Amino acid sequence: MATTSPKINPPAKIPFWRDIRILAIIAQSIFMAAVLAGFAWLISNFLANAERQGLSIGFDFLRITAGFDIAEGIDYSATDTFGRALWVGTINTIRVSLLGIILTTITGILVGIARLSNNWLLGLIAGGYIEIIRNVPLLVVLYFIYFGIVLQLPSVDDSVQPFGLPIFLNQRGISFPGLTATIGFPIWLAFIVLATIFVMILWTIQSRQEEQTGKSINKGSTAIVSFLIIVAIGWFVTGSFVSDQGMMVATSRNITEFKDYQSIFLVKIDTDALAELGMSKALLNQLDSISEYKGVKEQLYAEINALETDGGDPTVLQEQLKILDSASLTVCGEKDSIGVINASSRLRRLGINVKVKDEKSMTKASANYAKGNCDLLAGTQSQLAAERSVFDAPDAHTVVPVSVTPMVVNTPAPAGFNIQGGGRISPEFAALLFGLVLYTSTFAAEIVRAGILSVSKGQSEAARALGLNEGQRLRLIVLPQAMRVIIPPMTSQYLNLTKNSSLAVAIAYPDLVSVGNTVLNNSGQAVQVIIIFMTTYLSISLLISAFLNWYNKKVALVER
Amino acid sequence: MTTITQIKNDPALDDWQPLDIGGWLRRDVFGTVWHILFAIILVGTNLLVIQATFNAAPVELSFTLAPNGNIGTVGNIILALTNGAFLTSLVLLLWIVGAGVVIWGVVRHKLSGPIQWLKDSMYTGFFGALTTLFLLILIVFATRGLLAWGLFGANFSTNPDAVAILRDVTPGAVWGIVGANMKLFAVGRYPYDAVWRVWVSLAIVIVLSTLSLFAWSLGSPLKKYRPWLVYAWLASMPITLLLLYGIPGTDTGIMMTVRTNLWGGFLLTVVIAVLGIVLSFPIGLSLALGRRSEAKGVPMLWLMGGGIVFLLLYWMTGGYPTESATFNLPIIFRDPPLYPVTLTVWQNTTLQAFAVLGVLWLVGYYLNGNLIKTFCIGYIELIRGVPLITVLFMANVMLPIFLPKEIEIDNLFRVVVGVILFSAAYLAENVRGGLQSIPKGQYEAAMAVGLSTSQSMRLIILPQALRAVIPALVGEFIGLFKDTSLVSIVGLFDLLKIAQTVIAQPDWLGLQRETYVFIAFIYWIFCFAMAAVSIRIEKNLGVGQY
Repeated sequence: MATTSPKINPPAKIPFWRDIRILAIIAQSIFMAAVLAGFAWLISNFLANAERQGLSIGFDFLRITAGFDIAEGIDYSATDTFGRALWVGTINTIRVSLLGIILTTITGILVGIARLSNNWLLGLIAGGYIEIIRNVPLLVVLYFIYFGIVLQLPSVDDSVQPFGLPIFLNQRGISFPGLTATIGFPIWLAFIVLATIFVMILWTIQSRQEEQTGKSINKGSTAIVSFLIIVAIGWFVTGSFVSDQGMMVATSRNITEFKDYQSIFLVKIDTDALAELGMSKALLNQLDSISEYKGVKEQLYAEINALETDGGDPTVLQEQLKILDSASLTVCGEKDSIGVINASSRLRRLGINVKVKDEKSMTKASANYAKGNCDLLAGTQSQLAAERSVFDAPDAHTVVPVSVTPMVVNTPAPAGFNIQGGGRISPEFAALLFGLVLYTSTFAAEIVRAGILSVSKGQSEAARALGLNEGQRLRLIVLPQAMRVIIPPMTSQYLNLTKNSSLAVAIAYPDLVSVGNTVLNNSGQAVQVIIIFMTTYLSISLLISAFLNWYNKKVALVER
Repeated sequence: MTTITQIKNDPALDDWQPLDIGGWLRRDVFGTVWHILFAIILVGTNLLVIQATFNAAPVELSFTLAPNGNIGTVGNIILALTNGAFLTSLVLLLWIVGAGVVIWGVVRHKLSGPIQWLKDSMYTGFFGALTTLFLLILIVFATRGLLAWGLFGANFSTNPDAVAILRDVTPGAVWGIVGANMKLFAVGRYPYDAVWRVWVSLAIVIVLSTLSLFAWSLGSPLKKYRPWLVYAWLASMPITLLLLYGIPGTDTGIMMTVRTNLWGGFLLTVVIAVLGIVLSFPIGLSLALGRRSEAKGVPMLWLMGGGIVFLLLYWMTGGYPTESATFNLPIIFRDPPLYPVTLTVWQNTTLQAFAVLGVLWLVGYYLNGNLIKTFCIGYIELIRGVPLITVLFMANVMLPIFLPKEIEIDNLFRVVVGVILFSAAYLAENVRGGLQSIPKGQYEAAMAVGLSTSQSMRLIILPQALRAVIPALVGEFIGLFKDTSLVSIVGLFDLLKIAQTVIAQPDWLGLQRETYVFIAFIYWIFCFAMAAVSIRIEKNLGVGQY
């Protein structure tokens, strides 16, 4: 049989030293071998140097007692390990970064929108802010804020109180009212859960109704109002029926609630000394109610100001003011207990000066009270009853039940050389957070602006044509579309903020790098500490970008 | 008799609507309440601001106008003009006149150019007008306060004693701290005798920059000298460095050695930034090319075989776990550990084997075994994931540990190495962006005309890719210029560190604001200028316009 098919030569075999595929593989193997050899050389040097300097190689040093203090953060003491210290630093880094990211998002969006505002002045201010701050190194901004502003605040005695609010700014930081949960809090939380479930059901029903009738229902307002109503009911119900708090007072004083203390407080004012300093009889007689007391103080302030502008000597009046201020009630109790916070905050809100004498334990506090050092002893009713039963004369004291709301406002107040109570932000944290937000917001604002400009004008015109107002246009039409453009660059800004928080080391905020630096100096384990730095920051970065990539996928335009 | 159809078509029933409580709340209750609240807040803040500024004290300005305490007629006029009550009244009056003009124009339906602008950009409705008033007062008084501190109430004397005496008359800024320390800010502790060398270096750079600006503008007669200019730029780097450092080993004479620990101030900032960006460029370029490499990778079999060989070698040279190991998390949980994990010898061995082989499998599966690509991705992502300060710490602390003990390295050198390693990763990503923007046809065309890979890269791809990323590269340089301030934390005397030492001088205590404002201004000028140049280059090159 004759074959008709053409004769095909087998392809010429390329020798392997000219085959580009094989050459590529060999080149890569050589490259990798060179890299590995380089690493091996570095590591052998390290091992030799470590042996010479007596450094250990593993991570066992993390179990050694640290022996240094950290100014703020989660529970830690100098007897804890290096590992714990680094963990405290990591938590501090995460804390400042998370808060920074939230605040940067808000300010970035606001400034970005402001720069595009119709109002020429608003655009001018936003533009000026962006152009000035983003062309200056973050470290200079941080130093200026920390050394030039925060540390230049007045001392504790002359704390700045903006608008007379219970917020105190001074060299030691910022004190502000905080919230403390009490025994009723879990019950109130149950009300919140209930309200959430109710609102969700309501939302579903209304959505169905909307679909059926084709008429739009304002689900948002209904949801918010019903949620607030249920939560408010829960607040009052819990507040009036659930309380374990009480205060112990001398029976002779006839006290049934906090208000009764006003008269006791007024008695404490040293009227003799005031009379000696030449305060008029008329003024002295006025001091029979809290409002009059405040009035007298204001009058004194006014007189002192008047004297100062006229060049007179206000020393006597200042002495009088001091005497007025020094009158106070003393509250005893356990340190940081709800009883003390509740009693002192409520007395302060009644206009009474309060001095807190807190002890580590209730027994000590009650001993203090028995000595007659305190006007009242605050604590739980059972604690107080137990303490009363061991007094010499239990009948001389009564335990008055006190109602507490699910959360107690913890109001700060100046006391001696310090500000007592309330939440507190350290100067370092305040400076770092403010600096990071101030700096990163400029970039965030530019991203938001670019995102909004990327939404075509027709969309806005269409929204206006449909009769949406400016807020609705921005919220429902422009921002959702701008989001797609905004998120990817915003992700890298969030990462930058997190990484820039490491500049905390320059102003001694105990973040990971700052604590790690101390660990490095104390233990000498430079390589391990820097490996920990890098792995931690890498993990945080990867977490943030993973989350935002997920979110980005959710909002991304679905393309065919 | 009514049928169901009739009921359905009953017009009365068609009008029936479910009670729209939500809509009623929004339109009639919340809408009104919200507007009233908003108006109250705006009017209230305006009133508060007006009251506060009305009572503001006049600005202290006597000294700068006349040293003898008599401020003269001009001084009195300025003093009167900066009076709080006067300024507030003026602003209010201007605002009311503006509002009046706009309302008059609207009523007459005649809005000429400026009035139309006023209406569109200042008096956009009731709330807009109130916001304008608020912002006007804010701007006027912020400017007034800034001028009072920095100019009218400032003291410009460089004599600390004079400043102390005149503190009451000039309570504002003390700019003498800047003037008295100008040399420190400029070059740090660089010796006086050798400062001329800095000037010469600066002159070289300025001459080259000017020539380049001419040579690269359109239709320039200097166009044919462009290659020479490039060579001159390349040569200028070592020449300026030699000028700044002097001839190594000479302690006297005009070219005496100036050790880098004496370099400081703005000079050091510029040296670090320029060295960082120039030297990291080739590394960044290689990383970018490596990351885009599509060369055939090492087959999975080779990888696994290599991994097994590596493991065997590692275990044979003493890495084999001989006893069970206990791990805990002392970081999170305190000592003693709450959840210790004990691994037996076998578990430990398996874990090690899985770790090594697993990573190699990932490389083989997802990156087709391309080892160069793997290395480049790993390097870039590692560096981009960590802060610059940790890289600087690493360079500062780890470099001496990882090199043989005979090698002693200069502090500046270490930091520059750190900056280069850091900036290379970011440059690589920029360059990669440029490479990605080149259409595939360009590669194919280069191949079709018979260019080799390196030729097509050098002649076709890179010129286009780099041109596209010039703005990004300038942005990168601005970022690096700002980031050089971090070297102050690892002990180099750059501009920021010099500022800190200046603040600590006993003659000028407590002048943080003046010093930081000054160096912020220096950084700002340069960054702003570079950004402006970048925009110009962008336009000249026509990037983004095809």
